[in-house]
Amino acid sequence: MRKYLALGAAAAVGAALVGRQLRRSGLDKRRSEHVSQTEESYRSAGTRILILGAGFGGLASALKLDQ
Amino acid sequence: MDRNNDMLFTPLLWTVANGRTSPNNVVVPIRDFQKDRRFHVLHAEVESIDLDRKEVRTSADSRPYDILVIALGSHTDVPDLPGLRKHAFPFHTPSDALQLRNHLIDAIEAAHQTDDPEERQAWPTFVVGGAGDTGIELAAIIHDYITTGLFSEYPWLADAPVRVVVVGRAERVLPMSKLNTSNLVRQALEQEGIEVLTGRSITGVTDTTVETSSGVIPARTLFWAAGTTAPDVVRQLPVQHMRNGAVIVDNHLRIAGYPDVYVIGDSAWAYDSSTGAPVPATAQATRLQGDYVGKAIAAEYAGRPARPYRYMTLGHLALLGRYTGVAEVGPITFGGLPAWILWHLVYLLRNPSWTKRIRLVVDWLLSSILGRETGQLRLDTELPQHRGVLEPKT
Repeated sequence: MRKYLALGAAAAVGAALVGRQLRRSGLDKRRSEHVSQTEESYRSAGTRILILGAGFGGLASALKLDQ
Repeated sequence: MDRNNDMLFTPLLWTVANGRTSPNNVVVPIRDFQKDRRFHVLHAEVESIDLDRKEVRTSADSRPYDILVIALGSHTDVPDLPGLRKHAFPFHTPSDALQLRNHLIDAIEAAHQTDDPEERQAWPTFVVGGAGDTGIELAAIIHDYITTGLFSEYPWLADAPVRVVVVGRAERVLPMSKLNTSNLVRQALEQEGIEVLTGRSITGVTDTTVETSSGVIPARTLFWAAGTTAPDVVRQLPVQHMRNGAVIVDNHLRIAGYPDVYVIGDSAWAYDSSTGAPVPATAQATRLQGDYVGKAIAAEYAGRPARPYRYMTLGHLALLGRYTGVAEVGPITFGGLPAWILWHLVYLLRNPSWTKRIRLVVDWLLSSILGRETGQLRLDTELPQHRGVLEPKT
């Protein structure tokens, strides 16, 4: 019984460590890809689309435009 | 741009009010949407919009635009009737949902403490002003939370004269829905023991009564769910508005004379271009309008004309208490447990965050097994840190 409990605990700790590592690698990837859009880049954009409000409608517009 | 850095999933507010969901799980951080996307999010308050100079003044700075989409929503409109603004509780935000829950518990505690039979009746009497979507679901949730959530913790409630009354000005509940949906909702509410008074209006409120056009209801609580108004920044636009401040838009959801400005959601008064029927102010309609505007801008950018806006409803759902609801899907309307299950599935799938979906399922399962949340969580919504972020920069 003890053996199974120990195995279960080891598996849970292992899964938690793997999950943490995956989250970290995802975060690092996002960090390297993320480009902060400064006011300068917004102002110099070809077409400046400004969406006021990030509720259902505003986010749906932004996501559709991103597509 | 938004004054909050999260998106409130409004339809799930009911489950916060009746103690089944943690308030954190009905909001999704906007930054979650930004991952791998090509748009930027600015956390700022909109102060004014200059349509002629094509510029928006915000708490962060002024932003010029080429194309503007106004999706600023609405807030509860409490009319200027005697005592109404002082006594009526709104229901629009997570803090309103928690306030509602806190108040129901306070009212039950107050009823328990008093020896006066009239007060003992008035405290557990809850009146809801408005028999639209919000009003009927609000009444059902109040009844559900008291009878299901609080009964186990407050055994004296079993003998308490709990009364929930819905008062609506139209001749039927859900006046914008089909007649059979409206009838089924009324029947479901009455089966739960909720009184439905249609064709009547609320004329005033005092500390101990709610006055209606057909008599006085002894009650100490009025929840207001009858109408919304556009935010001031929208009302101040020098264009044509409806009485609730919503901007009247053309059949491409644009302001007449300003082809680069779209208005959607509760801030807009739109009509279906083929039927001419007004578009209801629902989360579903707002999301579909957002999709339409995204496509319309993309089409315009590609040099193609955008099709006129058409509102194609996907259906209608109402949660009406413990394991019951009403669903209208195409020509079919049904109630009871299947509608309750469909309500939960649809809003779970509509939630844009997988993390939140998992948390919601866990919350709902745990509340079914362990019971509803009956603790009071008091919130101070005017935190100084929040004010500091949105203060205008000089």
